[in-house]
Amino acid sequence: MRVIFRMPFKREVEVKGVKTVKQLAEELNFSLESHLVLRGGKMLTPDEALKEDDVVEVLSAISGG
Amino acid sequence: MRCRRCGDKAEIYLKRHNAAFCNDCFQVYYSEQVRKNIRREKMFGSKDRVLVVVSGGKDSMALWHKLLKEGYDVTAMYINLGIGDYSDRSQEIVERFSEEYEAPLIVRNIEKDYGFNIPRLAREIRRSTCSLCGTIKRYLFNKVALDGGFDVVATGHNLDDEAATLFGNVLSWQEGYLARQSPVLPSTHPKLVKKVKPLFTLTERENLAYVLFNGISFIHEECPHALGASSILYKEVLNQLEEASPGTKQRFLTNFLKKGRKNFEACSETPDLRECSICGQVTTAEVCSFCRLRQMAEKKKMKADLWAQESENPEQ
Repeated sequence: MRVIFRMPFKREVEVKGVKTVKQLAEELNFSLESHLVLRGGKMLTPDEALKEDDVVEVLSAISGG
Repeated sequence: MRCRRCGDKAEIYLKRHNAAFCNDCFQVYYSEQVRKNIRREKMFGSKDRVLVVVSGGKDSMALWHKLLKEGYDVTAMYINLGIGDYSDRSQEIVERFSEEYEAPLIVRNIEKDYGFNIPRLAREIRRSTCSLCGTIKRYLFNKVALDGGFDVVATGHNLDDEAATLFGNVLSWQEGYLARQSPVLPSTHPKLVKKVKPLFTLTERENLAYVLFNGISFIHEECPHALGASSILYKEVLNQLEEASPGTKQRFLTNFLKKGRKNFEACSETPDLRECSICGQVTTAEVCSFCRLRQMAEKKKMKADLWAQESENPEQ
């Protein structure tokens, strides 16, 4: 599955064998308290099932200043 | 997960409320939070003129949109701080929103209107860019609000901002700052406009969800000067605590406001306020910090011009 991080910098990673949004966050070590996960522009809850051919976006909500 | 209110498929889960919401019901939750904050903290009423300060980021864009939707008399103010492409891109976003929603907008440009460049001046006088920005923004929020006859200035500070500020102030026991931290800063002088934070119980993540659900454009990237800021580290630490114990951030802040802050009131000094001898804005000194910055910028510019003249005509 292709995972695209948008903020603060764009980067992409490939992940295999991840079944839910919660597992994806654990695998890639980001907090669901400060990030939103989207597929096809729709937000996903932590229990949402993910497939190998999915493209998901991870948006960080943290800003400084 | 199913939406707690209507039972439809949920799109967002809020762990601290143990509740998931669909798009429509999230909007209801968000509106209720903003309305409750405005009413309970007596921030402003339907007849008040509100100046909402916007940066183009998700929090201030969410606030602007929400206050317009709620029917308040809102005018936005954007300050172009001259931080390269970042400032120009955020100004574009704000101007596009203003056109789309036919929402009044005041734009100030530090370099064009006041003649100084913040990153350059910060280097020249050896102060951090963020501290200069803070001084300039605070000055202009109040000046524009006062000159325009606004009753209140509203900012997009969220729960994470407020909890991180509180955390930082506790770590170094900043008694004076602790005494003053509040979602409402009342006017303490006829020339100081009241300041309010209607989003102080909503997280950054909830504001991000709000702008995404409503298709509101916002600037994704961070101000280049904010990268590595200690506030970001504090937010990450608080989010770790939040994951282990949902509701920690809100408890930390709201219990401080209810129970903790009053214990610091004795530490709050009432400063001797007067009017700046140059611009007339409220200050504790003879000349306000904004006018002092302008004087420093002018001196630096005169020196640079003189040096340029001398190098052009070395014989004279």
